[in-house]
Amino acid sequence: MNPDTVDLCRQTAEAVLENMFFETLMAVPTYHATSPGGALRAEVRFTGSERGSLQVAADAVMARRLTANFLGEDQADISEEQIENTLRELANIYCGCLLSQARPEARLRIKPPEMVSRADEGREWVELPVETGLLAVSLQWEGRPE
Amino acid sequence: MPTRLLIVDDSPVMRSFVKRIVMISGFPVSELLEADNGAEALRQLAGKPVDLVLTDINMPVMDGEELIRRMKSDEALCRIPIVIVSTDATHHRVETLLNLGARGYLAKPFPPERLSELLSTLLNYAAL
Repeated sequence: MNPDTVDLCRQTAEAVLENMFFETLMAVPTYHATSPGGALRAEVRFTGSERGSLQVAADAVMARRLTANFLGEDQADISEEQIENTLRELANIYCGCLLSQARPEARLRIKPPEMVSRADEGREWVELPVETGLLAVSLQWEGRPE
Repeated sequence: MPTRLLIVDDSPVMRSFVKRIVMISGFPVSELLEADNGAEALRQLAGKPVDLVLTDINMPVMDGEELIRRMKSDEALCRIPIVIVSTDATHHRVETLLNLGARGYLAKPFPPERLSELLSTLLNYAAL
């Protein structure tokens, strides 16, 4: 993954987390060639003039906190359904924000986000440290080199 | 004057997020209606007039673009201000939807005060 992509992931994370999830990035993102273990993962696929997918991953504690922040509710009152819905929405927002910066002239259609459980060893990940843990994101273009 | 808003989004948590911003912004809202797609929104609009519609674009059954087309071709609905709240902020998409008659385009992510400002502007305008 090239440095520009890592920086784009950082900028996107700052915009998404600070504006809508009320979290702050704590340090410089790091690149990892392996997927984060034990994490909840949501995926958004996009098609159009370019194709690809974006995944976000967060551990259960992190996902609950992000959900509570997003909904303005106490963490103890958050359901598993709300957590999955919020992680899907996070992936959706993150993907749209990143693509509008990376490919502002592209004609893309973002598909509905889904939770994914399968191992996907081919992906490269950027880990974004926030106060309570790590949020990881992975952008993969299909059929076109970065 | 109390206003009625319709929030159209297939994500229940996004509808909750928008509702929360509207409520804490202090608008005199008498009712916040919700729909999870454009077809459901039209059903609700047929029964209850609203002062403003906030809609997502990518939704199942009927997307936001079609919802705008239907509203703009309906004499009873064509003057209701429509604000797009979407992740899709690519240039051609924004231009297309504004040309169809959407009054505002709010690309996610946005700070809560951005939505408050937009609602304030459009609801004042709609009341004139």
